[in-house]
Amino acid sequence: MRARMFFMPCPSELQIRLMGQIHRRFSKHCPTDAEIHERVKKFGPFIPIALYWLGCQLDAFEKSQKKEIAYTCSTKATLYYALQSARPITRHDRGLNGLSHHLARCVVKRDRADPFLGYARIQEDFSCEAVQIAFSKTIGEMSMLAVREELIVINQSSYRKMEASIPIYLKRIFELYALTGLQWKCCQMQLQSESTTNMKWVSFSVKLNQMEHNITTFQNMNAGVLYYPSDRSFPLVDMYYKDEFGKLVGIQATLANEHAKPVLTYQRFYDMIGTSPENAELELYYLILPSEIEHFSQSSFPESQFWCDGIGLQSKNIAFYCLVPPDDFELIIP
Amino acid sequence: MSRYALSSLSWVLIARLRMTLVLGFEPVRTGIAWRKFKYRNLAKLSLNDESYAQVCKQVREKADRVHTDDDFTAWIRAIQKATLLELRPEDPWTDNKDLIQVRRMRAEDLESQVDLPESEHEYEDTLDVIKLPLPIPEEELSDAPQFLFIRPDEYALFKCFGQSRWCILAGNPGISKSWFQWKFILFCYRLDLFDKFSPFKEKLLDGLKTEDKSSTKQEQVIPAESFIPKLIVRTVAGRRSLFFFVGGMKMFYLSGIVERDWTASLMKIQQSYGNLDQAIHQFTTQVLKPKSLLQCLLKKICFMSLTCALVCFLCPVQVNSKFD
Repeated sequence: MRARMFFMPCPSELQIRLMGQIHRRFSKHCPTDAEIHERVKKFGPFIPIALYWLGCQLDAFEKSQKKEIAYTCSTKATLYYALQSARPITRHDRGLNGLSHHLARCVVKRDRADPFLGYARIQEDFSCEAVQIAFSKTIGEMSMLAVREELIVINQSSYRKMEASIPIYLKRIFELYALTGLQWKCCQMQLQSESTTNMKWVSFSVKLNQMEHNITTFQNMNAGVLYYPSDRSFPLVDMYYKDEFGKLVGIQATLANEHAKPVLTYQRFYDMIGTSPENAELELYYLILPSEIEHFSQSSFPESQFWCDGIGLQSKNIAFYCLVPPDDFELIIP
Repeated sequence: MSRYALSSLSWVLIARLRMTLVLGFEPVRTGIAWRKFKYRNLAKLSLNDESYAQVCKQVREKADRVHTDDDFTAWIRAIQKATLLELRPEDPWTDNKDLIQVRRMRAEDLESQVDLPESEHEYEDTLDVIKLPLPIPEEELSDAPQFLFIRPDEYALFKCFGQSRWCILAGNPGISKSWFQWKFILFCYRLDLFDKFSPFKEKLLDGLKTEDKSSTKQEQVIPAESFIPKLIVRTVAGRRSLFFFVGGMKMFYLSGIVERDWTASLMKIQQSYGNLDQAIHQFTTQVLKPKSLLQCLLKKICFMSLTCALVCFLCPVQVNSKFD
């Protein structure tokens, strides 16, 4: 007798805040909307923590969370084991036994085409923004060699436990190599409605001089500078720069096959850098693992690949590209 | 006696379990499991007066104490009889025992739009807030025991459960897996609610020809795809059981069924519960919430480990042809 395992995803922050709104009608102890937002950001989308827990309980959780982060990030081995090993999420940290729910949460990739709608498969993600930042910081301090080694293993592995960590590695290697001068390959992702030519892989080269972590407007951007906002809520892209022709280039490290974003996200990006699609042509590069290339090698893509409600965006000055490092994650494709 | 003579009645019986030894395993994971029926002709099955009497008789023989639970009886009866009312954003909640009030809430209903993160899926954008006719008797310590918060994911999970023989639901602690049991029970009693608010086009109540949402009519409906149990047994930590007769029949709490050594393995649990096979029929879904016994249980049945805080098994048991 075998049971089929289903996984319940965590509620979204919006859903928890809506629950809190109802609870506040009955309990004066229920946190405010802003407090719930902070708790989700800090501890994860867990209902009791967000809505009921007292300060002492939150303190204890935070202490455990920090302790586990410190241990997990202490060595390369513990970091690798936590992020890539096939250990399930545990209730409590038990050393080299995977991550606990202090740091990780179950994620379901919903899929209507799947007989079980995607709920029978599990993936993991960082439990909250605070944890993701902690891991990003650790990976962000890794050497070029160490990141390369990690990515080679990840790229060759069929099992990916903490997929959310992979874009962090990809961002790190791009950041390092872009300042050295990389030469990888890319190809334009054409819309089905606009597809005119065959898919063609071409060389992608970039050499930037410095990196800045502040959000800089398009007008104030300097050529040769990689803008890598430290604000995690920065929309649409992870990094951006102005190429030698003055064109705006965005880099988004991803594992997602579909990258549909609402038009609002695009708009927020333009707003934050003080321009508009009409005034700044954008080349948006999806930076992927070499092993993910199959999906991105299609001759054309439906609009749902890029935006979920983007009627009219076709006419905007946006071109999408897939950017792929070599299998060995070297600086230059041989 | 008429087959549905007792359909308008709802009883809850409670009984205490004999004390059982509990192994000292700490709860680590959460899950709900459900074994689906072997047979698909469920629509032909129905609990009637005779089968109900059999269930009661055999349960009483096994349990230390069985009695009617008036609170649960009233709760389930109210759910069965209530009219479904969808509230618009501007409509206030009312205290009305004749209504199941449902409000679909979205980001725009939030008091503050500040720092609202971008959702990753449309299922994260809505929340159905349901005000039940009466508070859930067992959840009175909750701030809002009369409310259920149903996410689109939970409709999907209910649908998934109807398609597998045994299911285990796992997930992080604190994401409302325990409360999902009440939603599961609510859906079973009110398929019309599921159909109206679930994100799926397929309806479970395809056969319903009337506006009458009473359980008597609901009982006769042929489920389109999913298995909908006629009897749900909710067992909490091996101490007591709550029997929900979904077809508008009675329900009761049961205790004392589980033998002392039931923690040893699932087989023994099965054997212990096997005593109930005569009482819990093919059309039963069993909800188990062993809590601290979880790890031990999972080692025996689950082949792979789970993640969180508590576990429930929902397992229909063997068919008894005399109730067919």
